[in-house]
Amino acid sequence: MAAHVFPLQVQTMADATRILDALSTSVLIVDAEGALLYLNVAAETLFGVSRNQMCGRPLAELVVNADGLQGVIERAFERARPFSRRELSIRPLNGEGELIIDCTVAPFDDASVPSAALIEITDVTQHQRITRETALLTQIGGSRAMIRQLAHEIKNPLGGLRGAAQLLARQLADASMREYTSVIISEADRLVALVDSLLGPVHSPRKESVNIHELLQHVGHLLAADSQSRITIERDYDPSLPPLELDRNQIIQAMLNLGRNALQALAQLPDTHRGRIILRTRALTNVNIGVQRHRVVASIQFEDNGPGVPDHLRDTLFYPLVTGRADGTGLGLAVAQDLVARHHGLIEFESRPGQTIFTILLPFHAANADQAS
Amino acid sequence: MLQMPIKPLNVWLVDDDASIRWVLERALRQGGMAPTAFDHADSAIAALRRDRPDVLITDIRMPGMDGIEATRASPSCPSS
Repeated sequence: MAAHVFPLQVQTMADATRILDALSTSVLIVDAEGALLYLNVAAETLFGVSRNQMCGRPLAELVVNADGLQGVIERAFERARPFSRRELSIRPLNGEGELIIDCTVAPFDDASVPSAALIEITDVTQHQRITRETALLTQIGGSRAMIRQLAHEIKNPLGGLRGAAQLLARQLADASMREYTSVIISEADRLVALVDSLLGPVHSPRKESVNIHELLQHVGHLLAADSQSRITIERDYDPSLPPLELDRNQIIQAMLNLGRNALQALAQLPDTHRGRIILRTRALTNVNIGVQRHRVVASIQFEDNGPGVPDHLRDTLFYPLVTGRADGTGLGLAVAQDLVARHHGLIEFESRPGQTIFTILLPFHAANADQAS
Repeated sequence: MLQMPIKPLNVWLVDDDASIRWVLERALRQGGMAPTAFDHADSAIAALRRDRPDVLITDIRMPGMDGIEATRASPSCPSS
């Protein structure tokens, strides 16, 4: 009986290339020195390069931070067997920003000493973003519920404390003794003010149709005044952005908190470096905010050239009372995130030394959001 | 002219927080009023069957019946 053969025969290099180019996974082949021998179309797209231009070039010319990827390759060569890393951060030289990838490096083992390795890369940036945002949204909801409960528990005894001090003040004939009760009263008031600022505005957003650039101009002027012109404020607006339905005051507050956060970061720069804030707007299509998919969202960015968010603050940056400054309240970003969340939006950030970008994502039509599958 | 003795204003207080009741009771008494304090809206509503205050002051957020429900349940409340 004749042996069954697959009708498709991979016989030539052209056949193999066609198949590799049809993959959505990025495939690269490197030699033992880390020089590129091959990239498929998906890899060209991921790294924003052409294979002709990159042939024989070192991996370090593809990505800014090649160390992580290089480490995986070295491990695979050392052990002469495939090696994988999940959620590795890379920054393509020709790319838009940081990517999160899963990668597997498999040395070719047809020779006794492997001289080349196949790298498979899956871009999980979007998936990772959704996971992270879902966690963030859950955390925002959870901390809001906790703060509301805690605020009630704190304000009640404070009311008693303050009232008792007022009654006591009336009984004191000696005016100098009333200094003591006034300290109790003013400190109780300070705590109430803190709790109130944690709670944020009590009313739900009063939405109206607003040109976001008008609000950004206003915020830009306030920031310029705050910084006493020690920094440069640049504007990079997409003028075609349609109006947004939002609560003017709440979004101004959120933007101002991000702007002031940037100013405080820039204050840490040495005198030789001039601080710069870029206010940027864009319209993004088909964007997920958590699990909600939106056809169009406004992206409002605050970019600064400060030292970057310290590593130890990254995961808890939007938690209330988390601050990197001795004199900070740790409320600015938490309140901003809360105000934007009330508009079904989200604030995210990416940061490295010299470039920190906080992005406010606001859906144009929160009601039209589709549940992502 | 007939002089009527001025009856102190009968004020009812409803608050689940003991320190708030303590302070308000004393403040009202110092202001010449006659306060009665309740720690639950239910007990104030029960007392309404026997007596009526001139003024009812209630906390809003309380375990069990909250302050808004309490004023609605009060027979003298215009909305009831």
